[in-house]
Amino acid sequence: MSIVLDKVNYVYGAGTAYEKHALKDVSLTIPDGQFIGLIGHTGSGKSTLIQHLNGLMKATSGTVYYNGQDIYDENYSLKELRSKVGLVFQYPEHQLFETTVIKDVKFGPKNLGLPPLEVDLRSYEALKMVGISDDLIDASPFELSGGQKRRVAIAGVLAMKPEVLILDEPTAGLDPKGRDEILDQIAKIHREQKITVILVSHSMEDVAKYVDRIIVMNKGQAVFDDTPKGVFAHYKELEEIGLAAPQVTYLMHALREQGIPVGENATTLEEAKKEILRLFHK
Amino acid sequence: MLQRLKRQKKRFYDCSINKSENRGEPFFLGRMTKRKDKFMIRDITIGQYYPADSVLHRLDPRVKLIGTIVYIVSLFLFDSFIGYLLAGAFLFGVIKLSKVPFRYIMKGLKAVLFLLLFTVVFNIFLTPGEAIFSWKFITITKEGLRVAAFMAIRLVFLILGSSLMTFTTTPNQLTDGLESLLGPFKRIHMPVHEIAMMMSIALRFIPILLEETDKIMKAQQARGADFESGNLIQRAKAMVPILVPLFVSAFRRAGDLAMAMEARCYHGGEGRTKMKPLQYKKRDYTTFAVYVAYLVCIVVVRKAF
Repeated sequence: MSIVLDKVNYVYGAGTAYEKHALKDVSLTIPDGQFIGLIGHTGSGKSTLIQHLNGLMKATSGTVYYNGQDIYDENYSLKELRSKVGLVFQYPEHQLFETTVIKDVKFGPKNLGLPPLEVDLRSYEALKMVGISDDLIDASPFELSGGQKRRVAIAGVLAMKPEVLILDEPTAGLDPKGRDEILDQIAKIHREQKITVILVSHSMEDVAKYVDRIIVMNKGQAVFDDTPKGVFAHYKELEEIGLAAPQVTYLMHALREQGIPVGENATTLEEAKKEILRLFHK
Repeated sequence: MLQRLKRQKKRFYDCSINKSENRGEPFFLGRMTKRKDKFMIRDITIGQYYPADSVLHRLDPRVKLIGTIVYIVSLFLFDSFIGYLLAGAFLFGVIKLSKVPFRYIMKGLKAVLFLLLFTVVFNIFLTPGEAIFSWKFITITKEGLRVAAFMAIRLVFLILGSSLMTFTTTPNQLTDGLESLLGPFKRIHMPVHEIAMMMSIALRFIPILLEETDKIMKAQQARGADFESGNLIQRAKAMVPILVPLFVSAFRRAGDLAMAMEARCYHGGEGRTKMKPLQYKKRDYTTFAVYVAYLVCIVVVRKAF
């Protein structure tokens, strides 16, 4: 049970003046249950890559396998794939269209052709998962706040019970509080539902706290693919491609340069705190 | 909130300083032009801009507008083989000069193929004259064939000529040129500037809305929406999840744009100056001379043949 990308290439507008090689020989394996951060600068090919994972875009060359099956096979049902690999686009609140919140969430499971009771159950469950309270369920989605809208939109994908959940910059345009809430909820969903989560972001800070693995994209290529610690060790190279390691990494390196023997591997504030306190108590 | 303000501020500087100056576009449109509209309108090439570095691209948009009108009028001035040859040679020369690939231009004809066939068929069968083929009520006349062929050539030239203008002129240059050419109508209280502004905004929004439609379609497809199967009513119903968000976003964008314009003290055309006023250069006068020469040739051909 996994997603495998085999030398995927994608070229936009081949043969025109706007030709762009958006993905170059991307080969990845995404095993079940992992929490992955996909990081890259604007235009690095992140969004193009994730749209290949659920078959919305077809690779110019190369193949994508889901659970060992070639998704470009003629008999392969892309509709089924899309119910297994849930994709939440950037600014998902822009896709809301129904008159009430619950109706909008039902759109996905209804399209799967499930019985009405199952649809209702799944939708309600999904709304609970993202922390929408009961009094909002029959409200118009257009009356909600930005953060609430986004959660409803995420619930719309969760209600399809995907095995893999991909979120494209789920925190874009949210305030720090809203950002932390959404990320915490995603982490909770990952823990409780035991699904694979791919979190696309351009902020290392956001991602470092939650994920098991980080894939860094640059100019259409996957340049790093490692644990957060492994990736942040290359913080100098990351800077060259316009990204930065979490500030904690810089702090730890600065401390070491001052001759304080802290471990360099702390990637989150918590770890850094522990590390510094450990030295302090010595 | 602070983050959002910062981003807005950054956006403001981004668009007002970096983006608009070097392109001579209305500055509040800068942010939108930042994203290249690269892969959206694939087959409809009419009205599309083709970036290249040629004399034609550098010409003043007014010259190109006038030139297109002159060319279209000239197509209806003659009625002889040599006239068409001349017009064709002129067009071919200009296309060569524009550095736009010939195949790319021909793609634009696809969109009007139906109209072309329609004209040809009607002309062939409905022109009275000397019959060369007759079957029941259908008659094909010699004159019919002649008129149909000439009409088709005229239409093709007309379309190629005018699409060449849009290939070599950015929408913003085009509206600038139009605004300047329509200038005299200000005397009779025609809101020329406002019309030009509306046009450039409308043109600018086409790729944005197309991109938006693409995004919304994909988002709904990711939720299992199916736009391809089903009968007519089911398909129409399937459009609702696209249209509602599209309208909402169009209004939101329009509101944002209006706000951004007002925040930069936009108050209509009154007393507004341009960062890059249109100015005729030497090459523009040369082009005018070429037009005159071309027109003289056409008139001579008309008299002589």
